[in-house]
Amino acid sequence: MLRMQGFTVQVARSPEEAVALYAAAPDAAFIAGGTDLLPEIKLGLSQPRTLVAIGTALPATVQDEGADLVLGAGLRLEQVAALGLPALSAAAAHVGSPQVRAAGTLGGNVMLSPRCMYYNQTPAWRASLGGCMRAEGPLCRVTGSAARCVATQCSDTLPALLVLGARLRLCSPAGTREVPLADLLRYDGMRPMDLAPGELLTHVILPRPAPGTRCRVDKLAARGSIDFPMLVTAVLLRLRGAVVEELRIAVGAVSPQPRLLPVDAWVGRPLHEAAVGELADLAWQKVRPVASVEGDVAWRREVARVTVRRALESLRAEA
Amino acid sequence: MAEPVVLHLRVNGQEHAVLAPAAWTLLEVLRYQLDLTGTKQGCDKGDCGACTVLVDGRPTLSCLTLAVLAQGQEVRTVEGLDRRLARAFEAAGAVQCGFCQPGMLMSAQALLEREPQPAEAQVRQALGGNLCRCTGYGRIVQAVLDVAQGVERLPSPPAPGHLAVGADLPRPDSLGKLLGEVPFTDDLSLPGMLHGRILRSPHAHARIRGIDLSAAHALPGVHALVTGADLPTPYCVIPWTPDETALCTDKVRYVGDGVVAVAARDEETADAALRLVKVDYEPLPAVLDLDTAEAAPALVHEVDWKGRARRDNCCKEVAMAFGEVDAGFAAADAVVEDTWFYEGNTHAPIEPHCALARWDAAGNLTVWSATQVPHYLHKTLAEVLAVDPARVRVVRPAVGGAFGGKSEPFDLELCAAALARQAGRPVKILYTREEVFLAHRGRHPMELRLRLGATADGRLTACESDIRVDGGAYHSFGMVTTWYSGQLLTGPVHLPAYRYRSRRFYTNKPCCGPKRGHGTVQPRFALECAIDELAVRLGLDPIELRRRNALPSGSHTINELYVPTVGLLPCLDAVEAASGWKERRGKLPFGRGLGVAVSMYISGTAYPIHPTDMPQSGVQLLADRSGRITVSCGAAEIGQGSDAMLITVVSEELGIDPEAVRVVTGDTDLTPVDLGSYSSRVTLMCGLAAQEAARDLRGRMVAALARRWGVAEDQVVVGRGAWFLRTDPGRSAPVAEVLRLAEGAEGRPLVAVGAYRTRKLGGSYPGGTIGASPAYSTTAHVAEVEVDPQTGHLRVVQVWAAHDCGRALNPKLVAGQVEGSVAMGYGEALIEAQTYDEGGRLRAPSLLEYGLPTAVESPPVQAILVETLDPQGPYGAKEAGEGPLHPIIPAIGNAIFDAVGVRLRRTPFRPADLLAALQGTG
Ligand SMILES: Cc1cc2nc3c(=O)[nH]c(=O)nc-3n(C[C@H](O)[C@H](O)[C@H](O)COP(=O)(O)OP(=O)(O)OC[C@H]3O[C@@H](n4cnc5c(N)ncnc54)[C@H](O)[C@@H]3O)c2cc1C
Ligand code: FES
Ligand code: FES
Repeated sequence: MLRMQGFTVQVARSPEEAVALYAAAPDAAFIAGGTDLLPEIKLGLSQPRTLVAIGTALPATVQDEGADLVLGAGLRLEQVAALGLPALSAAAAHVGSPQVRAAGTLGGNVMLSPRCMYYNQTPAWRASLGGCMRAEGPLCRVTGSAARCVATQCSDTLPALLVLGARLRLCSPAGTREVPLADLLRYDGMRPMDLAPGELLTHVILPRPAPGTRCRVDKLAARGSIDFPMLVTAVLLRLRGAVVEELRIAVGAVSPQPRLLPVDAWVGRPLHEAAVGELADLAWQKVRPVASVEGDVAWRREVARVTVRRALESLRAEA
Repeated sequence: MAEPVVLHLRVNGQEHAVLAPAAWTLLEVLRYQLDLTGTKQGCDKGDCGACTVLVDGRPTLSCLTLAVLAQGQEVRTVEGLDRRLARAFEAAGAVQCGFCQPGMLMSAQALLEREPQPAEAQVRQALGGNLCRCTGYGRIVQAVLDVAQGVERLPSPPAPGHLAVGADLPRPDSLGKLLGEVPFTDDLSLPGMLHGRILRSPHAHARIRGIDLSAAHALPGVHALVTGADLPTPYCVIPWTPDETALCTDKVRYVGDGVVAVAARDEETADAALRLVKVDYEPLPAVLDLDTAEAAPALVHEVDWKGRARRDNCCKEVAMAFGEVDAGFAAADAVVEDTWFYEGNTHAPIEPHCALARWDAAGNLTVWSATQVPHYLHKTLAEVLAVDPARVRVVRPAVGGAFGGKSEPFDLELCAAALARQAGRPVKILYTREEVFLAHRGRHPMELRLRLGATADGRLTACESDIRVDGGAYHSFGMVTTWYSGQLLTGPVHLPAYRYRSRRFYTNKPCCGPKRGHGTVQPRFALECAIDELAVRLGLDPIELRRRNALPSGSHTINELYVPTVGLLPCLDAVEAASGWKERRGKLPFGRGLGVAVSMYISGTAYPIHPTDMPQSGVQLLADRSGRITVSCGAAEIGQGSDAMLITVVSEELGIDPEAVRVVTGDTDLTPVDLGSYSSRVTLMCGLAAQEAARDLRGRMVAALARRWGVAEDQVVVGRGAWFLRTDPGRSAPVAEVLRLAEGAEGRPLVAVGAYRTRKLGGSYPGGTIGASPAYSTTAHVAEVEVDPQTGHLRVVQVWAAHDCGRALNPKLVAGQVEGSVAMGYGEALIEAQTYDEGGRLRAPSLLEYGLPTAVESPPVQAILVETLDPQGPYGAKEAGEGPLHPIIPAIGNAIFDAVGVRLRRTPFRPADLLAALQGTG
């Protein structure tokens, strides 16, 4: 078996205690559901000496604050899936397997460690390769350069959260801050989010969508269950008649950074057939899958075009 | 190791205080501290679901749950489950090897507690995190729906005129496996037991210049270390090609080849010890593909086992010709010719290989191992450990799936035995999931050039193939694979003229071997797709084309194999009708298609691996005075149902209640030899041996009863549960009484033996015995697919699989074999690939990346059993566990062509390739 050793576990009862425990311990890591962290520890990718358990410290609540819906980062994905929220619930239902969703949290999914086929391997495998810049080696094995790590951010929920305009509430010994998710995401597999070490995600805040807003998320994976995505697309659309009032398209699981596509030019224009085609082509132009996870890159790019087109068509037809 | 902590866990309603390391998972604590071994481990990182338990009612992966954090919650394991679901699983025939089942039950339980009336799609979703390699999920889903809907399934009665044959007897061990009480090898532990690990090569090809064990020896807790020098005797399951050693001696030949084995007080210490071992390697150029292997800039093996220098990497070449091939092609109106590539893939049983070895004070060795071949393991242990075979005992606990992947000796068995000898304590070695992939012995990648001709009216005239087989670093069964790739293609579609050449090459990759359907899955793919192409070219219905070329029962193939019964026509009729072929084919919209393919497979081989004058299989029956019979046989129950088959045969012959028949199999001390569970030989060979033993016993029992009743022997009739007088059925004696009567009459314990003795079969030419089998099964499949022409996404909508098994001794188990074969072939067709990067590293060494099909996308399979009553098999039975895998791959390929007009010549049929082909860029 993949035996773990070398760490102790401290259970935090509140977010403040969690960040304090983290700050006090050398080589600490937060553990929520553990469904991402424990495989990493088992593969020797992370070697924390203290695990700060945040499962019971984090809020697992859904608060209606008028303009915002505030989700506790401790909500388990199966709970998120059952909330009936646009885009996000469907995205949560796409994650892994029932067991992964029963233990994995929303916070853990947002903070998911990017994945790479040269990295998420056993120590013996990586030793045979000679490591990569993220662990035990000098270069990125995908690009052959040391510029940056291009592991893929495979979180199912991030694209949905991007189109929903989510903000993250973060807690640290210095206090609390609230930042738009889009501002935190980075194109860097080793530091996919612009956070200080030991910052704890406590809430995910969703601005209430304007009436008439429709969303859709699609996941591309090899199997009907368990697999991480090879492509996630999320689309948010609000029309008045045929005219676009609000449009956001996000694409994830193709690179270290899930991204919103630049679609502002289509706002205020009618969403007829040709515009749908243009947006689909835009997706194809902007999506440049990186070969750090399975799935032919040219094909994923083409599927992004098809999925965006179909999503727009189906959302338009719902009107 | 970190300080242990005291844990307070509530499991199945009971409080436990246990001392365990803080870093242990709930899985480790349940299995190794609380002895709750019903919870299984298949991957240890979330990919398989075998370890599923309930935590506060939620289905939870115990391998990804820290035990510390499960405190204060209600943990439930299979041991605490009531029997409602388990009984439904048993009744639906949902259990095969049983290894996935406890986890599956827990997921099902969680679903039903939350949603008592789920729809089928919800059940499939709820089981979507639990992999099953045996069943294809259909019966598992059915069982859950049965519970929800209150359906009780009763076993079917025996076939007319039979006492047990044809009845759906449950497996003797199914409830025990479901509820986690039947031990698999890793569930065993012995006092003083140590844990072993094997250090594996980081290089695809390198010379070993030196090994320094001193630091590892010095580590506290380390008890034994062995290297290749300690176990230098080469071996191979095929005695003609002994080209591997338990650990590498001179060179390492693939990334993962074993170099050093250690035994320590626990796995953590063993791992630490291996990190201290220093191996000095001189890297060599690696041979990683067929072209390089053939060009031979480097040799994987420089000398063979006889010490002769090798000049190339070709380790086996077979070239044969039968009939007038050139004339056949000259007479053809249409000829198709193309190159096909069948990708390698692997068995991936959910149970990782495991072995436990102990030497007793008298110097006797016992090895418990998850093996399909206790007899060959016994032989190899004796040879490699240089110990008198009379001192070796092999015990096969329950095996959690094998499919050919556990059908030869592995390094872990030999190393566990060697380490245990050195340490003077028992040693267990459990492969990690990555090691299971490295042990491999799976499907060989094959590149096939195939040419096939036919006349305008659809008569095949000739077939020719040239095959390159990528063998990996050693031989394994590769000699047989090479032969089979040519020999077994000559039916059930008759080839009137046939020529083939097949060459197997050594490469610096894990060794390929026998995977379910061994040797012919790859050429069958090429042939059956080529037949489809010919049908298109000639404007004929592909089913009709196969009908016109059907090999008749009781005939010889062009390569002189005698085939007593061929169920091709009834199988084709069955799938044609069930799939609505005539009405629907050609009328489906673009993107939907139907495809057909057929196959034939052996029921054991006439030519055993170790030719001897002794029988291939022996069975012994022993009656006790309570009216119970113990059947012992060396056959390995690996989930295919051979134990149930033995019970059926004995029950059929003696009218004894199946529950009064006990089976002892797979223990070399207690059972007569059977060669093992491979080549689909067990039902036919062990079945006949059991029948012979039971008939002998029956004759003696009849004599005793006739004498007691004072009647002629032909007046005694064997009935179910009791025997009676032909002229006065009111006069009867329970079977138990007849057994006692017979023991009294004979004046000694009531024992009977039977055997299957190999008859000489096969062609008159050298090699003509290879592929010769007493009987051959036939299969026909129709697959329906849906292709998304814009994304290349492929969905298999439904599969109809008609299989001629001769006689279904137990229809539910036979159907389960057919469904499981289709499921495995489906994975090969769509997803699975065992491939390597440019350094020879496995690309997908985990169940996550490798991707076994899940319950969510696996297609429904309708298994149709066709009975041809083969004169060679017991009650007419022949094989059912392998043949039904073959046609699914070409059937899907042909259906894709029907759907979108694209011919994929490479497996797996990945959507990216399909899209590229559709867009004309592939
Ligand atoms: C077999 C398998 C399949 C999977 N498939 C998918 C999939 O399809 N899609 C997908 O998106 N994911 C998948 N996952 C990954 C993972 O299970 C999920 O993303 C899950 O949501 C992670 O949540 P968790 O609570 O278990 O995270 P944890 O493992 O507890 O944590 C993950 C990381 O986030 C950090 N972290 C967790 N919570 C916080 C917080 N509140 N503040 C700051 N840092 C935090 C941890 O320190 C850790 O580095 C899969 C995992 C497995 C094992
Ligand atoms: S052992 Fe836990 S999921 Fe495989
Ligand atoms: S019965 Fe499911 S893995 Fe064998």
